[in-house]
Amino acid sequence: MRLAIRRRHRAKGYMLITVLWISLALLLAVAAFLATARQEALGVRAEVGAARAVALARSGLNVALADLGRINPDQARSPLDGTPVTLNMAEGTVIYRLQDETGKIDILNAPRQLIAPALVLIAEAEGVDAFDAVTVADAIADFAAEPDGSIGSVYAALTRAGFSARTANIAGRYLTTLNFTAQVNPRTAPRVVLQAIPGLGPSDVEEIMARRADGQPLPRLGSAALWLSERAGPVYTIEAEAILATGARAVLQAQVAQRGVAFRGGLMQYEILSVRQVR
Amino acid sequence: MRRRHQEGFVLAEALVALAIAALTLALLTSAVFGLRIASESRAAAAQTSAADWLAARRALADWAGGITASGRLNTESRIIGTATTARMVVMPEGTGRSVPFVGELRVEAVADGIYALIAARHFGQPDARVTADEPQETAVLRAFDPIRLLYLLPREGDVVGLSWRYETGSGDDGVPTAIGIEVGDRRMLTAPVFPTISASCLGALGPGGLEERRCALR
Repeated sequence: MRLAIRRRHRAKGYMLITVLWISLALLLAVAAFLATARQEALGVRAEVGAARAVALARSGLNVALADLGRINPDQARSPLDGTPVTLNMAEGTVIYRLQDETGKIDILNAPRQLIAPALVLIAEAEGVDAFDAVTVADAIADFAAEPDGSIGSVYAALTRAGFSARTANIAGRYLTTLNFTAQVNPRTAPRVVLQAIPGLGPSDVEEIMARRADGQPLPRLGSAALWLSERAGPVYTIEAEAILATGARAVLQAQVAQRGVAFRGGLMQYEILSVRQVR
Repeated sequence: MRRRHQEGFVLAEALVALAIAALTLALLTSAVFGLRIASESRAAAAQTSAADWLAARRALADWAGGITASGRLNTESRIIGTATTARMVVMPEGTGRSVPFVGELRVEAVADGIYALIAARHFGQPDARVTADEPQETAVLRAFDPIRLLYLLPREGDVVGLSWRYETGSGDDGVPTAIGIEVGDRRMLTAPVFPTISASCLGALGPGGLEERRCALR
């Protein structure tokens, strides 16, 4: 009798193990399915986040265009020297920067005295010395020319001249093909450009930066005045970076050209030269 | 007698346990290593999930954002648009690769009643009429209904306004204002083409280029 009970108990043990095996198999199958579903959901979420970030950055571009078009002196205007302006929106934060192209050195019109020192400062990481910089400055306009007679970008010209893609990208902040003159606007020029102008010492650069931040008249600049002109436009670069509350980011960069004069309550017409997603 | 019966039962249980172990192993294998195959086989059928449309939207927006025509005069060889193929010469910037390529969106019938939207890049091609032998391509969307590409262009004749067309035509109307994707009779996605003036033409002609018709893209 006792033996029979023990055997039944042993049989029950096998049943338990069998049920456990089945449960484990089902559990693993469900876990694998859930992992797949989760991965897919995460992928879709990231894509939706990226699309929303691009849409927010596009809103930032529109706000920046409206800012650029303001002509009423009572309205606040953002500086055109690349100073970041932050907007807090319901979806997230937008940071936009307005950069006047006349604040950059024109590689087609500026002389080598202006381009070469700028190249030395920009390509410091590549070890470009003054001699190399003068050689490149002399030929840079040829590197920018396309076979069909049009003009390529600064990026294309510098990569053709043998600079790395990273340096060519950075150079886009300080060099341009759309200034149309040999002079630079000291009110909107980045610090690197001011440092490259012959006749401007470090103290002059600091003084210009301080005065233009307060909207004061610029100091007398001696021989450097030859390279400077307080004329802005017509081409501007706008960079809008959107950061969603979820962490998704997108950066849009647009180049616009102001056309005609402002009229009817400050409405300004802008031609769009390019819009590209940087990130 | 009872002992033999009990041994038989133990053997049966051992066999069941082994079978379940094998089944578990098979399930795991199919679940973990078969995931990729499973997702690919789903892709082979019609793809209409949110992720596919987001990918299509990105491909369309990238295509529309890559306009690099150097003026209205030469848009003909830079941009080609039909109901099944959209091609454009792209000069990549900031990507470390300055070789021009032709960016292409193409619709193909991949099987009976299944259509695919394919995004391709033909490297080293400066003319949209020429394609590379070995393009880099991805199928971004599949559907059971025919997929068509559309272009928002000025109305034909002297009528003011814009209309959707299945072809960009000779290029006289310049770059389209937007492009779209239609599946069956439903318009699913549109992407605006922003540039209005060619930067490279403006660089060559100066501020006067803003008033030049040949610098206008549309």
